[in-house]
Amino acid sequence: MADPAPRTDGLFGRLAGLAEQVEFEVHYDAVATSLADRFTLQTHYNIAEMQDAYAVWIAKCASAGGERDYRHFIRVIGLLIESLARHRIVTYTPMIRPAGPMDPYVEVLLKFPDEATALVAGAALYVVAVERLTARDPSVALSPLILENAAGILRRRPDAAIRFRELLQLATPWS
Amino acid sequence: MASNENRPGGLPAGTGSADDIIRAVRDDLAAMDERVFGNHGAPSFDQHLAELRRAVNGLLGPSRG
Repeated sequence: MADPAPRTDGLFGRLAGLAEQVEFEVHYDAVATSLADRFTLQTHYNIAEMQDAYAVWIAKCASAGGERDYRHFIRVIGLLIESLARHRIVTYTPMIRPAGPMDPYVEVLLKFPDEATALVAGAALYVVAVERLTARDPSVALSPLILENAAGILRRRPDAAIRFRELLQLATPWS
Repeated sequence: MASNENRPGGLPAGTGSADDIIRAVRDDLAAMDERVFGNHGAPSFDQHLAELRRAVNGLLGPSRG
């Protein structure tokens, strides 16, 4: 995994920081680790796939263009989710044997590790950015069913990631 | 910014070096930081990671653990 110390500390926490490969990887790791911690899972990364996802995302962003407005921001997040979901970056394994039925979120993460992590990573970046702007959290708690449905759609059609707000029921502050 | 007049922001695919393309994407994102979000925040490394983790947990709802 990437060195946790970002090279461009002045950009970290801003969208621009994501264009640096190290920070891109730190962001992804933060999300995957948060998911793993929450559900007592262990993460396993394929670094080469993560690097490919970064390169694909940069290339897609460069060729997509945009007006540097909120629509562009939404497209960038959609392309991020798509690029991550197209690569086999992460797998999770349970660290403990469940006493009862498996948590349905865990089932989703084991079945769709890359797609679910990509969705949560993109959505978390969207939420952080929108919350800083509006001081309101635009998200509602995702049910496992909604997350599984969205992840399943992404596995079949990664380009459906551009609809991440609808798939994850995220509010938008822009009309 | 290394850019092409045919499109606003960034480089078209196949033009310029990898560094030029990364720089152009970073410039696009930096412009969004300014124009869309007015540079709200720009917290420290640790604060940002904490926000990200909080957002992940918010998306998943209250923990049942």
